[in-house]
Parts: sequence; structure tokens; C-alpha cells
Amino acid sequence: MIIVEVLITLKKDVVDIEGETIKKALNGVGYSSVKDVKVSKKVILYLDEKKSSIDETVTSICNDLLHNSVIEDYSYKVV
Amino acid sequence: MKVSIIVFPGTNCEEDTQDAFTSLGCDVTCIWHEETHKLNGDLVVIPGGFSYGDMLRSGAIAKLSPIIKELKAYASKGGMVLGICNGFQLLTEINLLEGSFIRNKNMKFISKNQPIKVIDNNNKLLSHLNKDDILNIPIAHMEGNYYASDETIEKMYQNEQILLKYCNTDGDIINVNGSAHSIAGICNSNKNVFALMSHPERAINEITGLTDGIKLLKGLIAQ
Repeated sequence: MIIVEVLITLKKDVVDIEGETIKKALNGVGYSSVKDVKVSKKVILYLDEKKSSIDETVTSICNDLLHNSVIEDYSYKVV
Repeated sequence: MKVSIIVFPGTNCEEDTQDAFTSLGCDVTCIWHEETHKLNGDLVVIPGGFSYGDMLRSGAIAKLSPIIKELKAYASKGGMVLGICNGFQLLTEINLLEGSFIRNKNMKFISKNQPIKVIDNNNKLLSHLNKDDILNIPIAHMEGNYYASDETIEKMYQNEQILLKYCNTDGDIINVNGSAHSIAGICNSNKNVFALMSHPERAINEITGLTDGIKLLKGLIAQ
């Protein structure tokens, strides 16, 4: 079994509403050193296939479903 | 006029939508998303609700349903499509409409009657209305914050695809959820795929308070 962690983040131009809300909350209770917060999604895939085809499969999965190219970027690593 | 309403797990506005189009004299059928037969008829509606619990992103899982292939084929032949709320989100996920959605700017689920203003009426949906007309129609969403790149939005203005914006009762444009340019409704460049975040099917009867929804939907069934 090959385990792949996919990280999905909002593009730089897209406002991270959740991140801003968390930052405000942290600042509000005294964590004044927190200047920015970014929220992302991590999807862990458990793949039963050859290592040589992992890149192709994960790229396909990300483009077909896991990320929306209008608002999100993705990266992944085999763990 | 034959209207088909696509129903996904979690859709919850299909019966109200059916009532709305039935009251306009349409022959309305609800179609389960696993159907694979060809879509035909005069209009396909994707109603509001929460397809697959909006997991991953609103409309993300629903875009893998078998009916989507047929929906794309129907739209590519010029078939008329209307997306309402979750239907709007799904239509962006399957690239029948530009842009996408993120959480409302205040992180709150917004549910209220909300005026919207007609920005462009050179299309089937709004040709019976005038530019700057105001319609009071409920909104109910958590991810109604419309996003598209500046370049994409500029192209949409040029193609007359920006149809509706949020406004106050005086008609001044306001931003209720963070949407780029306060956009509430758009269409594709071929002007056969329409979508809005407002729920016209919830504004069809004086008993429940509002009737501007039926006023809006009339455009789609006019011959």
C-alpha cells in the first residue's frame, strides 16, 4: 500500500475567509504575534498500485475531483 | 413546456422548484442523478440543497454523477439549463459556467429575503424585465461568495454574462456575502446556461410573502 498526502490550498488571489476568522479570534484573545493564518485541506490516499504510476494517478485524481483549479492549488507527497 | 429537475442525494428544493414550474403551466419531471438516459425537453433545472452534504466543495462530488455527462451533452447542443444555489455551484464545478465559490465573507449561513438587481437583460431569462429592475427573492447559503479572476469577470461583462447583483431596496449595489462585483447571477457566453444564488422557487406565492421568483422564472418559459 502506498500512502499519498495531498495538500489543497487556496490560490494566493483568493481570500482565505476561514484563515482570517481564525487570525482575528487568536488576536482577540491575546496572540498578537499571529499576523496571518492559512487554512488548507489534507486528503490522504491509500493506493494499491505500483509506485511508477502514482504520479499519473494522483494528478488525475486531483484534477478530476480533489481540487478546483479556479480557486485552489494542490501538492502531494508519498509518505 | 417540458422541464426536468435533477435530484442528487441532499437536494432539498426539488419539490418547491417543481411547484414553481408547474404553476407556470410546465410539465415537470424529477430525475435521479444516477439516470443515464439522454436529457431532452425545454429546460433542465438543478435545484438547491446540499448535494452529497457539500463534502470537499459544494457540487464537487455531484459532478461525478452519471447524469452530468448527459447534462453537458444537453447544454452543448444549446439546451436551456438553470442552476439555483447548489445548482449554481455545481455548474461552475463542471465548467458550464465560469468561476467558483468560497465561504461567505462573514462565515455565516445567510438566510433572508434579499433584493437583486437586473444588470443585463439581453438573454432569455431576463428579456421580459428591464435593466435596473429590482426583485426581492430569498437567499440561503453558506458558500455564496462568488470568485472569478479579474480577467474572467472582464470577459463576462463584455459577453453580457453578468446578469444579477445584490442590492438594497433602493437599488444600490451592496455586497452581502463577499461575491466579486456583488454578483448574484450569471450565464454562459452562449446564453443557454443560467444560474443564480437566489431561490426564485421560494418566492412564488403571496401566502408566503413574495412573488418575484415567479416573475423571474416566467422569462424561461416565454415562447
